[in-house]
Amino acid sequence: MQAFLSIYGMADWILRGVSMVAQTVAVGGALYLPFMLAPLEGPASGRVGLWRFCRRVLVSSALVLCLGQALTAVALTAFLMGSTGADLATAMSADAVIFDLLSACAALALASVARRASGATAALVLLSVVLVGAHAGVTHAASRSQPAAALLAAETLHLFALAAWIGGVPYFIASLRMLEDRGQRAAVAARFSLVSLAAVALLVATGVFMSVPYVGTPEGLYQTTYGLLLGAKAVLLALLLCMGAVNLHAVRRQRRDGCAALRSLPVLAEAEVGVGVIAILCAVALASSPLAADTRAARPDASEISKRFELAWPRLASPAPPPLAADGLRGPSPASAAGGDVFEDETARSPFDIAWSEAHHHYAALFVVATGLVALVSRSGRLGRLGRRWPLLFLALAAYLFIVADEDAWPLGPTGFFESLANPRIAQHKLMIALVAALALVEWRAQAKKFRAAWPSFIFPLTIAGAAALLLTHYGHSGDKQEVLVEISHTPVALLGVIAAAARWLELRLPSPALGRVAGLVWPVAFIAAGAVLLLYRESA
Amino acid sequence: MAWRARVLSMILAMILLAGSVADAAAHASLVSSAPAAGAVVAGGEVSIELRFDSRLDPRFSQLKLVREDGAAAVLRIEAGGPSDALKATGTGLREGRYRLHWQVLGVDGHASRGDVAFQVGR
Repeated sequence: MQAFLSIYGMADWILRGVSMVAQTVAVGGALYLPFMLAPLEGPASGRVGLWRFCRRVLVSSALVLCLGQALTAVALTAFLMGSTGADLATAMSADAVIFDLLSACAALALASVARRASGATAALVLLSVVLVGAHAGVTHAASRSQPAAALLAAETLHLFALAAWIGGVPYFIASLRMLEDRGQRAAVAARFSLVSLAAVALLVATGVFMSVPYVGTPEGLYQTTYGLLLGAKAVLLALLLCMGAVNLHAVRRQRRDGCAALRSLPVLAEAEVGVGVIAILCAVALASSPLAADTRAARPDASEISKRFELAWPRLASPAPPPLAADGLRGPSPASAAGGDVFEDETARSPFDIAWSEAHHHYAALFVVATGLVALVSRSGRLGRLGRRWPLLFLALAAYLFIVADEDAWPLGPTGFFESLANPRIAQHKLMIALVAALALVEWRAQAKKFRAAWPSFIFPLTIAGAAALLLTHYGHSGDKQEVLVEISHTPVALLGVIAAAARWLELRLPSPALGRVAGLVWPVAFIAAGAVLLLYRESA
Repeated sequence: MAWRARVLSMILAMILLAGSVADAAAHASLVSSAPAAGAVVAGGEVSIELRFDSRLDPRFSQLKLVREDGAAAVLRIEAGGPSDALKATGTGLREGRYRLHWQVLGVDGHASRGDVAFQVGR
């Protein structure tokens, strides 16, 4: 039980993320099928298959949601029993457990209704309302000291708008691919554009309405974890709107030039789904963060923040580690040296820790800049076959990180390699390094056209997107000033990572060579920019 | 049919990606406390009040007072207080340093915990 209690926070967070994505797709489908597909008129060719496919996606996402919510309820019940000694009945009577179970039941009912050949519109919409309502019951709006009906309504509408837009995109891609009649494809595209526009307007309006009381003051936007996550979400929304504008342009052009203009639409929609998921994960992180308006911890002021972005020469001299203590560990932290005990701040970092971290952020930044530069120059063909070997720079980065990421572990420190893997932090680092190495090898072979299939090429943008999502959403452990300062410098890197991933995906998938060329220039430039931001990274004042 | 596999794998990737995010802090978070963090208070009987940014389920909230020698006592939470606060009374507090460990469950299902260190002086 102790082991479960220690990992409960992580398990709850994962389940919430999975459930939120599944809910968005399930509710998106419950709105898309009756309102986008059902009204289509004309020849039935392709429609039967499309209907069947969309239903399968809807049923699958509803079942994932049901499982996710049921597991969330079980995990919370077990946590409450284990940590407070409550009996089963009492633990299950917690508000959140009831909402989770309600959501699981509604998701199961939605899957059951959608399985029927002629899913009833009223039932689909009603169950969607129950699902979104149950979700709204465990949000900031519901948990405030003085819950306000207007905020609860805004939260509910926000979730509906998200599902109607991002949740509808997978079904929209399927429609464009499967409908054989050009008129029907054009009709679906026009209708979904309209729904997307309305959903975006609703998302922005309700988002702004909620952020006023949640953020409190303008300073809350850049001095707190909540504010920074909200800012990142706004940038992702802007990115989605740019893609949406290109889609809208294509829909309008097809009225003049026929359906040729719609060919890029499914691919842009794929990138839209990816960015949308990262925005959803940002929203899950926001829901778990204390509101900026209520954050009373010490906040960084404007001068402390601007110091972090001051132009300075990168720290490229690796600091000498302090001498080892008799027990094989590094010297004492400032806290424990001052007679620290359990009452001291365990997170205090020594000057060596800070110098070590800065130096190795800067070295890693040089690898990222070099990768972007080589990839960019190689597009001109001047580097010949050598230019296609830019993934090897990633391999070099992985080797470098393996050596320096954990100075107490082999090969630099006294702790053996396998022994060090018992430390979760080191094991996590090693896993990430292994992933970087694997990514470099796969992309190297893909660049050299060693794969017959196309799918290995997609691993690179998907991994970059995953890493960017992780970098965007993993803050909030302490919410203290130092963490906010680190978050401020890492958030732009993560957002540039999202742009790089989306651009690389579009370059690989777009049928239009002109648009693909533009995307092919964007991602190396985003890499160079991300590296440049990392070169400015400072932990010291 | 390759695009169907792509749409399905995209949804699978969405779900896996959602599962890859790391742990984060959760609210309810502490807004204010009496005694305040780092405060020095008179010994004997000490009134304790912690206020949070969220409504709490008091059945699943706990307060524990830990002395610097490691001895710990669970405090009885007073019933009938505001829904976003926990009240209790520490009795027989001798001179020394204390850590008030709290664990709460917000009505949104986020469990969180933390500590407030204070000192009992003359």
